[in-house]
Amino acid sequence: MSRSRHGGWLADKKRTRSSKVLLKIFWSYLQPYKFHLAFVAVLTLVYTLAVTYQPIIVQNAIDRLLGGSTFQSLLFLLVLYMGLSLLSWVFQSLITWYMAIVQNELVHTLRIDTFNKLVDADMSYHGKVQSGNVTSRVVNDTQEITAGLGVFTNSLTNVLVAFATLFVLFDISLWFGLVSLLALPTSAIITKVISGRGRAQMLKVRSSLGKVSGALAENLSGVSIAKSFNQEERTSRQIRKLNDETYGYFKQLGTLFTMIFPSISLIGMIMIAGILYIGGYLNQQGLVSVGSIYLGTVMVRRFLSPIMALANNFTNLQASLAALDRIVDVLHMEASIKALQSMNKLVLTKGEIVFEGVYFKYQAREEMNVSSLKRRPDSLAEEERLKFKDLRKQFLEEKRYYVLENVNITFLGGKKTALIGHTGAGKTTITKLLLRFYDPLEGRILIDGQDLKEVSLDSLYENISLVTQEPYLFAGTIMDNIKYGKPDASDDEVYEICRHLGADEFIEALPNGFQTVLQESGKSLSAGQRQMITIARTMLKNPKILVLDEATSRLDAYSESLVQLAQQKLFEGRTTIVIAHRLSTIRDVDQIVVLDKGKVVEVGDHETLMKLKGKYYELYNTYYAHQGLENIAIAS
Amino acid sequence: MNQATYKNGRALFFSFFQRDRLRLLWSLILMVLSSVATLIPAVLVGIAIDELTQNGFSSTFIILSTGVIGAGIVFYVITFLGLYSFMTIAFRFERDIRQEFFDKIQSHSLTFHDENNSSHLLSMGMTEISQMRQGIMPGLRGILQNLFSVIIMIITIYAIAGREMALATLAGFILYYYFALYQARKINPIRMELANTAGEMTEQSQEIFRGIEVVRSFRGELREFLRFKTISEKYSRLGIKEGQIAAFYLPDLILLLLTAILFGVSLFQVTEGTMTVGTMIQILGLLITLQLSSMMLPQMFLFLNAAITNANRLWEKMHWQDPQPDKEVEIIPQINWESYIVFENVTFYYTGSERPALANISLIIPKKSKIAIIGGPGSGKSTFLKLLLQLYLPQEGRILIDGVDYTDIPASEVRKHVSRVEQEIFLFSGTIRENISFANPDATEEEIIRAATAAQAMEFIEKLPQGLDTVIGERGVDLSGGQRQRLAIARAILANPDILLLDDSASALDSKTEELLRKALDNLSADRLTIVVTQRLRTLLDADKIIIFKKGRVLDYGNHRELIGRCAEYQRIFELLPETEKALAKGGIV
Ligand SMILES: Nc1ncnc2c1ncn2[C@@H]1O[C@H](COP(=O)(O)OP(=O)(O)OP(=O)(O)O)[C@@H](O)[C@H]1O
Ligand SMILES: Nc1ncnc2c1ncn2[C@@H]1O[C@H](COP(=O)(O)OP(=O)(O)OP(=O)(O)O)[C@@H](O)[C@H]1O
Ligand SMILES: [Mg+2]
Ligand SMILES: [Mg+2]
Repeated sequence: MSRSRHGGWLADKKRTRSSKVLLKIFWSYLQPYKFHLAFVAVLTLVYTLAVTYQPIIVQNAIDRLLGGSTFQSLLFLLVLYMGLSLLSWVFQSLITWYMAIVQNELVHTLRIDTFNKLVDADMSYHGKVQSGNVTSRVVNDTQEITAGLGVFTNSLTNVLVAFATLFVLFDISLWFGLVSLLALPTSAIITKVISGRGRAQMLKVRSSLGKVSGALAENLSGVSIAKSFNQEERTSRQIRKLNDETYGYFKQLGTLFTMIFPSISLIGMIMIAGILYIGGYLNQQGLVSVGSIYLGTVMVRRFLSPIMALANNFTNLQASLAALDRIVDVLHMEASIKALQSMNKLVLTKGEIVFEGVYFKYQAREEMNVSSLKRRPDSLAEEERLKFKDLRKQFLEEKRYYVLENVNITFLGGKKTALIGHTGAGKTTITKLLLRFYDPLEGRILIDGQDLKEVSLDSLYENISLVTQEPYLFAGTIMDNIKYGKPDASDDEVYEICRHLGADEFIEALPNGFQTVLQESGKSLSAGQRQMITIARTMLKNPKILVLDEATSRLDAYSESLVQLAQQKLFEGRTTIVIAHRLSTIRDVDQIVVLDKGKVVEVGDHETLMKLKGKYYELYNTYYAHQGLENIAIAS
Repeated sequence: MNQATYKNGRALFFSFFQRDRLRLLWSLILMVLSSVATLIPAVLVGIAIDELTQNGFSSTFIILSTGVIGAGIVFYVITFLGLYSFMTIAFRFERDIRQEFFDKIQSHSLTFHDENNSSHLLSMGMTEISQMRQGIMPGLRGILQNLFSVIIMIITIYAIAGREMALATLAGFILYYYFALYQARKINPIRMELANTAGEMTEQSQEIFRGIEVVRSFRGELREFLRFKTISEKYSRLGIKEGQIAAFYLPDLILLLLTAILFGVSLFQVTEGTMTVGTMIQILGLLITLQLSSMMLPQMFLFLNAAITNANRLWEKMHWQDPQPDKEVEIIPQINWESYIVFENVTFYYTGSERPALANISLIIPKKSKIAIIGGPGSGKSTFLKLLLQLYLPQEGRILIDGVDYTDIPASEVRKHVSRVEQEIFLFSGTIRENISFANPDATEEEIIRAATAAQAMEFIEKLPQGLDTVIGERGVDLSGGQRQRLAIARAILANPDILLLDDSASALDSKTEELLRKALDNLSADRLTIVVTQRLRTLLDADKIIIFKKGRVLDYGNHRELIGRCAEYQRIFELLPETEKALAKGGIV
């Protein structure tokens, strides 16, 4: 908890927006709560007056007591005192009550806005930012911002209290007022220490805790590896080391804070002594009453605490602003891959897919961050735009990291095309471009003549579906997982598909059949079973274009043949792209595209390619030689 | 590894008091002194004012006033020392519990890890343990400090204002504590629910962002949004509820009223002449001091409550009872790991499933042989390998190596001699070098390169900008499927085991790479036992023996020639292949 609370002002990154801009944005979120906030402000004002007036009553009583008043004549003061006690309690409670509403509703709004933005963010963003960090934007940063709201109203109270008490002090005597002003430089020094050394040390604690958490996360999910290789002692030692380091930083930080906080009390004592000296002296001159001295001693402390709180609030506010800055980064992030509903719908006729001079590279491994420049070139000044162009050109010319280079492929409509090539050749990358997880750096991708960039994502995904190389399942029942792409499908449809695929048998054998709940991406299933479920999921959706990326690599020949039969039956006459290393997976395809190191080297059907005696011929022969089928014949 | 045990969650939490008793005692003493020091100024101010009303601006008055500063300095020193030593113990507590937690959890068998979500365990290890520390500091510390202050204050009031006042204060504080505890008990369940909801929210969003490609390509955005919105709303409702329960905080009112009443009584006594104005000021000063120091008390109670709840949850995980605990092995038996392995009626169930993943497996694996395993999805191939690695123990039957029962061999001994390339590759974030040398961090550059070359990984590693020192991201996301697989193979090769297990390790490799890999492995496995789960035919032909699994049972066991003759299932595999036609044309399969 303390981590998320302090997280923000410790952000390693410098803020990119001024406080003014951020507050303005924040204010726009507060609009719906204007009246709540106004009410809270009024309550705060009354509350402040009540608590400031209480010591004055006591002072009054003391002076009257010393003047020899009777108890009856003091009774009304007592009643007033009690009344104010009650009043302050009720008002304080009302403030908490209303603020709870405002804060929690506000954080909810922020959270879902942020979430939405992130779900639509570019895949390159998700590639760069770990899923844990994305989550922390949604969950922690939004919370941090609302904490800032609390700080805001809290500061309001504090400012009011500070002014009221200061007024009382000056009212008693100029000297009392001056003594209490001692609080100001003190708080300035303390703020400086906290936001200087304190911040630096807090940063160390945070990043060190982050390391512990990262190591813990990894070692918990990779526990079977550590066990398999007998490295438990080592991971334990690794955690111990990080843990020790964190402890060290915690201790340093703690020492700083234990030095600061009691010192505030000490300053208070010095101020009280000052009031006593001066008050005693002035009392002798007949300038202040004994009651006023008492009042002075109470009020200096009262003055000190809101000033210190304000100092503290200042740092907390910085925290919230920093969190807000990160959130605004997200909220203002413009996806370069736009999902505008207003765009044309993709209309499929033949289902022909064309890659036209496509270049692509992943940016994660890039030193220079062109993606941020790429984001909104039109919003940049002319000069910047030129610079941007330069960088972009430079980036494009830097050949070293190309994953796809001048790729030209036509996937024939209604036909089955196989994509083959060595591992790391860029096959999966092609599917990612086709599903518009990324846009090509150069070149176009067309489906039936329509540029992918000009059709709405909704209509794209309605027509095209991918079975990914790494199966990903959600926590939830198997049924829900299969229905993921078609939530309104009936159970019978699901059974039907699973029967075709031969997956029904193992699913029904599970303790709860189709209603078995999977946890953590289905870790209680075998790899092949997971893959079957992702195939069922895609087939149920019944897309017009089907992309299978090593979808059957974890299946045995028999199960694979079932999948192929199902595919033949259900997807006859639709555009299908199959990626596979096992050539048995790609029998009966109409066209074969051979990819090598990001370039298309050969295209054609089996016969043509065999005649070419090129890459395919080589692959084919190694495959069969390798599979040793000739040997079978010989062996027999 | 130090594996402490505790009777229950409470014992785990309160073990805090046993960790560094001397230092703790010292810091408690300082805490009491600090409580005294906090109250001294209030008393001094009262006495000083009495002095002023009686003798005017006397030197005694000045001394008393200076005493306030003196008390402040004493307070500062004592409080600093007390806080410092307490803080040290508390942070050490956090550190040690975290370590104990991790060690314990890591030592649990895979059955435990199958049942528990790793992100859940992570949030326990981080957040919940931090909260346990918060239960101690500021929680327990604040409560103790406050209690000390209350006691000392009541004694002081007794000394300066007599029994009645002291009793009234005592009664007030008993009420105060009663309601504070009552309130904490009322809020605590909501707090816990809030924490759980926050955990769910985190898990949900993590899951969505990890699977963002799937979410997007199936247009799941809206549904995920609604799901997230529901939980976010729930969280916000709970937050409001908590805030509203916390709002009308009765203990505060009690404290305010107590002050008002004591004020009234003092007024009366002063007018009666039984109390001086100074004493009244002392009493009020004491109460105000206490009000200030009690301000955070409700929070402290919540911290403490949460800490104990967390301690209970943590304890449950730490003291998980293994249904099949390891036998205590005193002497590690002398085993010839190059010997044959016998499976004797081995049956294995994963927890929670009624169907055995492996049923009645009996077979003998000859030494230094090459074994291939085939079978449909979920037929038990991976499970078979996991048993060989002793990641699980079978419920029935025995596995024997060199005639020694597996249960008599410590797991760590088994894993010294057996290495596996797992089916779902897990890579650690870090450099490629670190990943390959995982089994032996002291491996030389040469060994690493040799392993990587054999695994056909050097080919792509060389092309990376930083070569072996390239940092790979979260679970190796920026590598292609085949690249990850080859790194895992290199990792297993480097361990140089007597028994090498490959679980479908070529599934993401093209045939060329696979062939190179196979040749390299042939060299390496000349004199060791290799067991390979595979879907590739060549491996079957090369194998000395083939195990065919079907639904957890061994359907058949023999070499290619035997199986092709007698096993219909095996024949079907070949019939299904298109290339069979080609082979048939060349003379046919027997
Ligand atoms: N997210 C990423 N960030 C950076 N580089 C990546 C990323 N994903 C893949 N690459 C790199 O791009 C290249 C092509 O990868 P891709 O996954 O397309 O290969 P592939 O042909 O599918 O290989 P395989 O058959 O092994 O699955 C590889 O060199 C890989 O390391
Ligand atoms: N951790 C687990 N918890 C519960 N059941 C499991 C777990 N792992 C596997 N199973 C089940 O045990 C059976 C055997 O699984 P196993 O992983 O051994 O299959 P496999 O033969 O390796 O399949 P594949 O070819 O798909 O990898 C399956 O029915 C599977 O659902
Ligand atoms: Mg791939
Ligand atoms: Mg398996």
